[in-house]
Amino acid sequence: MISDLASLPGRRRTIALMVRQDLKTLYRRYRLGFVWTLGEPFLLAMLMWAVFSFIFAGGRGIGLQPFIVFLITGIYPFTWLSQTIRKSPRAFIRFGDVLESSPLSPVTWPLRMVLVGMFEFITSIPIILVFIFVGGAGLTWGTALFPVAMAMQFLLCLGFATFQAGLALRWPDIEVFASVMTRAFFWGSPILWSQKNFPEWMVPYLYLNPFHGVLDFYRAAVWPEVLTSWTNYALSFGVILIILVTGLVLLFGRGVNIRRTV
Amino acid sequence: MNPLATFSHAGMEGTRLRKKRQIIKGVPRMMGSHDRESYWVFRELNAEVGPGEALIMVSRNPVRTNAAARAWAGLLPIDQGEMTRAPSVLLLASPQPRWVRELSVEQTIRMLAGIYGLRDAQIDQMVQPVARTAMVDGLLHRSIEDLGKQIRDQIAFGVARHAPVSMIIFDHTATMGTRPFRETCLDQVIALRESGKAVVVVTDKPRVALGVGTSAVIIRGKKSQQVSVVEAAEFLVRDRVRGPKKTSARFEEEEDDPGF
Repeated sequence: MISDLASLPGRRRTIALMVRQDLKTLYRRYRLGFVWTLGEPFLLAMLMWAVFSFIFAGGRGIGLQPFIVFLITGIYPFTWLSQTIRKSPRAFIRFGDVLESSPLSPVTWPLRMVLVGMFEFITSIPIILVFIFVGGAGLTWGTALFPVAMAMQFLLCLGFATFQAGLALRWPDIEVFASVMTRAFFWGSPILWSQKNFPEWMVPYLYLNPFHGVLDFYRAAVWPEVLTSWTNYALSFGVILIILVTGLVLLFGRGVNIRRTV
Repeated sequence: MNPLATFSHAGMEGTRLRKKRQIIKGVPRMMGSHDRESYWVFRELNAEVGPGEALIMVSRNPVRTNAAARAWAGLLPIDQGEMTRAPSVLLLASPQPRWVRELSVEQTIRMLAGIYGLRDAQIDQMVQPVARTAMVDGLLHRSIEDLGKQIRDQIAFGVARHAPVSMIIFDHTATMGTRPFRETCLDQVIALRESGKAVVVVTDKPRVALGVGTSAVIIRGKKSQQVSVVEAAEFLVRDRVRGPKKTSARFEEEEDDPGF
């Protein structure tokens, strides 16, 4: 497993080509092409904002203000996570013919999906910045945590991708479960709501959802007050590592040969 | 000379869908089912290939040769016997269109070399020589989709020709590409062999077996057999005359009831 993972940096240009190809293939069938990468989460955020502005009085009491900035800073990272969760069960099925005849590490194929989502998220950062400034918010010292948040989300997505891709070969039903899990993450993470709505004693338990810690680090760029105890973030990071290690064990564990199962 | 790669009494198990014999309105039919059964993909396989040699692998069932090739490439484990592998192996499988869709010719060279297991640093050294061998050196910025399957195959062959590996396995890919290119393929495989690389050729073409082989093996499910290159070619000619294997034959032979 170690040698497999260590070989990845030496193949980064090949992996970059794969990601580029996936992005082109993904958007070639749409007339607006790559615009949908940014447009879909943007429209979702607008819809949420409209609903919460007119029905729930501007989202007051649910999230932080300005509410549209709060939504945008949650929905774009969530889009990366949800795409990973939805697509990764099919990673080995989709790339099975390459996997059968290529000695590239099996982790290459889930990684490729995660990197596509990561690239889309990076291209959405200018939009997030526009909303922050137009929405009347500003950047704070917490912006320094943004790269940490991206690194944590990358590991979380890679963990989910390897876990689901490996599990789908033994238990295809995970594909159905993935859509349920996406919804669970949407409602169970502070995308629409903030932790201030929960009693103090409950807050540490919220960080068992690793995406909670990730979102806090993103949002600290605008609201440094969302940051809580570092032990909470250590808990989120621990859960991320558990998911990642479990995923890698499913791919590389003793007696496992992914190519035999595909 | 010491062999680079060997199989010694090697066997590999696989699974396949069990077929059921059913009688519908008095007519016997072989029907598919969802039950799986394990079987020996190959068994008692003894073979070796050393530097400067070309081993021909033939079988009536291409799954057997493909499995043996993938075992030597390190992609599949064996379940019986022993196997040694060369330190660096390239298994040349026929490239599928979606592997390289949306790429230019130069990117296709890089992508295929990457898929066949070469590292970025090795690929940088290979782009120009591969382009010359594949006869695409003036087309590096053209889209591969515009050029078609044969050019894609030529690039794949070019990658195998210049890959810095000690052993190359051609899985039904010893001749590929346009007609003029195909005519040079066997000479290039011989040049690879003569440059001291170990070459394994999985083929169903007697001409290829006779043209490049130095030894041969016929792979079977019960016991594989080392033969001369001429015998392997004869086996392929006989196989061609006999036509494709009937998968239902095994079940009919095993059936006790000879009622129909």
